[in-house]
Amino acid sequence: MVSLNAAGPPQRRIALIKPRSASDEQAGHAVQLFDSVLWVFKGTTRSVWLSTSDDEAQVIVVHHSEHAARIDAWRVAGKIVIKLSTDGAKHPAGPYTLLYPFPAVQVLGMLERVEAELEGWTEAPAAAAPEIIPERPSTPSSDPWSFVEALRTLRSLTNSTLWLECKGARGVSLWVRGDGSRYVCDNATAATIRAGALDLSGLTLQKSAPPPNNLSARPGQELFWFATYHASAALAPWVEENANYRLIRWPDFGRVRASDDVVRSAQIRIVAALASAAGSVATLTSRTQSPIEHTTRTMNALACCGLIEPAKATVEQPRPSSQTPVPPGGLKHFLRNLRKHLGLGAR
Amino acid sequence: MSATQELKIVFTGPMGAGKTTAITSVSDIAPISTEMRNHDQESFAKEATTVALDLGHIGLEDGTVVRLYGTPGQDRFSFMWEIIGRGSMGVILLIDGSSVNALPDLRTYAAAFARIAPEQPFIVGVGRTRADDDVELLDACAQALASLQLSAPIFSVDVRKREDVLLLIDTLLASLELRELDQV
Repeated sequence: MVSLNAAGPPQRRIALIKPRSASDEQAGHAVQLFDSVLWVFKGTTRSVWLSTSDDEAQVIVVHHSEHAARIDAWRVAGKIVIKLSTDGAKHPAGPYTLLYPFPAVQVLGMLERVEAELEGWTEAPAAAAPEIIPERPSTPSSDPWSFVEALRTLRSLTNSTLWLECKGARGVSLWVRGDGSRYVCDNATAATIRAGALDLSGLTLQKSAPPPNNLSARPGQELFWFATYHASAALAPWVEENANYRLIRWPDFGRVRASDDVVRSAQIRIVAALASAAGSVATLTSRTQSPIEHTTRTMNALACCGLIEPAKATVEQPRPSSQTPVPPGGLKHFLRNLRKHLGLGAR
Repeated sequence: MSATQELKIVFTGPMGAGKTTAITSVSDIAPISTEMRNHDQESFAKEATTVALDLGHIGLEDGTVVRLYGTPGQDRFSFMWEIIGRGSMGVILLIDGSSVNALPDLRTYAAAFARIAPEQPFIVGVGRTRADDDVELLDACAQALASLQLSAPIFSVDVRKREDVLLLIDTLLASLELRELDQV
């Protein structure tokens, strides 16, 4: 069993080694991501992680391109070496290797294992190997899901006393509560988040003082929805392409309504289709006749907000026939005319 | 489906939830309202209230007419709900989120219209919410519906804004359309 120090959490020394090649952007991002996760979750991990030189460190974090001889020397000196891989083919994820882009939760899992090892706890590391994320299309410069993954991890830790400030190159000021239930920013920033005009993947979360009182708090669900919806047109790592999903609950479209008519209309149709019957990305795209990008983004956001879940294989019961009056010319014709009259969407 | 019936969308909810306002924002004509002086100011401080019904009208280019009905908000006129709700294309329930009776009202109306129009789309708009507490309120609304074995879209809305009323109608139409598609 792991024994905790009654005088306070144990302190661990960790060194993050700069990649050998300064021009390798991916390597730099991988080390930076690990550093951000360490910083964000400071105070929430079992140990206190202190950044030191590699000489003093108990744990070394390196990019996979580091010289093998140097890695061996650290290991010989009794240090634990964590590799950050940006090449899944040659350096796949393993007990002490994280494959970039890695979610924060994998870093935390890795740190827990390292802590256990440092305390002499000898659970076989292979048994707790991190989950390997399926390969997704990603831009070469950044992971589109890094910010959303950080939010998801935050929510799972449910630390409502903590505030984190999201900092980016453009000097964006945005605060997220430690349980993800609230976020705070000015109206202009909120508008750019809603419109997808802010590249959130470039933001890092840092522990901070509570946000200024003159800014009002907004529901965290809103940030989760828009951050996920706009992150990428590709399927998120937490959505299975071929799985059928069922709707748990509608999103509050009063709050997370898209400003674009076509997008709004597609989102409503996709959720209405899910409310009617479980479906996969492909079947929903077909049923709603929506562009696949709208279905993918909507499913990403629904899943991130916990509003859908994989459907159990059940036989759909036939619905009783509807008592809806038949409009002259049929329902389809009627709906098109009514939408046109009201100025609804582009359908 | 039944043919050649009146095409109607029903707005229901307690007194002061905004049914008349919602109908006014989308009706082609000023709705015919049977508003009278409110003698129940203890329950709701409002000068006038709808004692029978509101009736709005949307006329489409092919001559089709959709009627927008608002049910009376006072309990003693609840017998009218059945008359208005039966045969509707869908029901939009408006709830005053600032009222202490928000959840009991939701349960009362949801249970009644689940009986009156069980197969029709049912959409809930919760008004007068605050950004810092609407998540909890909407969660409670979803749980209240679940306790009745019901599930429905629940949106925070401001019915003084036309786009919020259109969101409710758009959701109703999409639900209608997708149900119809799935039955084919």
